[in-house]
Amino acid sequence: MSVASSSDGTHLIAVSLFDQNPGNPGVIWHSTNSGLNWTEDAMTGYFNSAAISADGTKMAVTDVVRDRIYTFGEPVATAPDALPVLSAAMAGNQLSLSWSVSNAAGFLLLSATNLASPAIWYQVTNVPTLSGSQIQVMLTGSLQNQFFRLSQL
Amino acid sequence: MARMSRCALTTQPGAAVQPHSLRALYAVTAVPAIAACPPLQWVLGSQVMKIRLPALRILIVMAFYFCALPGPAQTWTQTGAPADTWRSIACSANGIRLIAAGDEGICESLDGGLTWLFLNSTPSGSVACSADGTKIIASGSGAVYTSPDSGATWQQHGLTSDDQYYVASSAEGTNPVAAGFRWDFRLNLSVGQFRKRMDHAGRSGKFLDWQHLVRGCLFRRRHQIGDRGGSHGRKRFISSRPDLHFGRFRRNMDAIRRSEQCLVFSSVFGGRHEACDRGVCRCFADWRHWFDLSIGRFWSHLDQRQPIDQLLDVGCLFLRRNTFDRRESV
Repeated sequence: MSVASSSDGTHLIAVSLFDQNPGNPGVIWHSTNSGLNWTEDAMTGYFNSAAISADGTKMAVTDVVRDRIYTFGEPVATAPDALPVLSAAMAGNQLSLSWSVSNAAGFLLLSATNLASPAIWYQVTNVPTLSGSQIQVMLTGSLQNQFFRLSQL
Repeated sequence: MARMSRCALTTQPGAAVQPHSLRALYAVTAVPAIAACPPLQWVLGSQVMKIRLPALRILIVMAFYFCALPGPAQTWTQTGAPADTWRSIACSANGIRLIAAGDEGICESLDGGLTWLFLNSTPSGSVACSADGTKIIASGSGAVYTSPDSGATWQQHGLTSDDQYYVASSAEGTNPVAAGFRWDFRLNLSVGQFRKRMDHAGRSGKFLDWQHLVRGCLFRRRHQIGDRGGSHGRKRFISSRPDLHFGRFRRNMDAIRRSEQCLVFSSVFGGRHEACDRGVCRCFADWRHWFDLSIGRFWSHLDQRQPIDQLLDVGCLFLRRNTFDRRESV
């Protein structure tokens, strides 16, 4: 159960963990007039937390059972002033890939085993970590014939 | 807010049932069917009156297309966040920076959920951030953590080890708040200077009330939290600086969320439940409604508005614009 409000208090979102019958997934409620009227969203889930932007146009909820995060509103990945530069370094038997966090929004790390056409790029599923001002991915195991790049979504 | 669209839950990141696809289905099936239907006929005596109204048909088709079907593109989308038992989520004022707290730690997205990175591996149950999302406060493992630099560095504030904390942050991020869930109440005065406040919580009969208060609200007013007697017994005063934006309360607790000039909160006092926003308060008299809240029906009762003075009688004062002694009226 969670409620969130826009900065002026007009846009509200309320989520519930369960429906009226315990065990049934909960729902999402919206209000655009400070709670006077509410609209139930069709999406169901076991929602335990919600957030909303200041203007009320973007929302996010967490589903504690499905282990997912859902957003409402167009995700924004504005074009950075400068493209991020991918750096690679060996740390022991690990390959460290890093790029600046300042212009990382909207970029995914991809890998391919060869560049012969048609090259097939896969998303690197390791969740990056933040190391100072750098986003870092540590890779272990066989790293032969691996190519990496950052791709803007 | 854009018109809400009804949608189905999907399991693939970035995918959702788009209303456009429904419209396309409608366009290739229902529209031709309506267009091809025979003309209207009336039988008047021996006369058969056949009426062809192409314009009317077009209007019907358009009305079905634009009204009967879901609205445009806005829909819920599963983000690319790693699978985790997520406990709490916060976002910047523009909604682009998302910060989620879960059992695996704290994750952040800089692009509205497209990509994610781990900021902290400490299991966390509550998270809040400043309006720009760079100043973060989180709780987990019996401690409160703050980061002034988008998660690059963290400072741990060990309050007690057995409390569960819920956190909130002011818009500028310099006045985060942490409240203990169990037996204690704490209020920080600034980042890095959390101070234990037991003067109210530790006093005999008021302990329970303040426990409710802690469960109900995170609050702050010039470093002062108080109560005072009144004709109806104890009255609890909750106030906040208008620049304080509040954090959520999960599970069976109340909710407060970011509000620059208005407060939106609900609280529990003496078995009563109130939800207030912008000076309009709604009261609920018994625990049944509280359970309704916990299962999502609370909001169907929100039309039961009552003026603020009535709320005072049940022990809660709602204030805004930094005027502690001013009563807001409907």
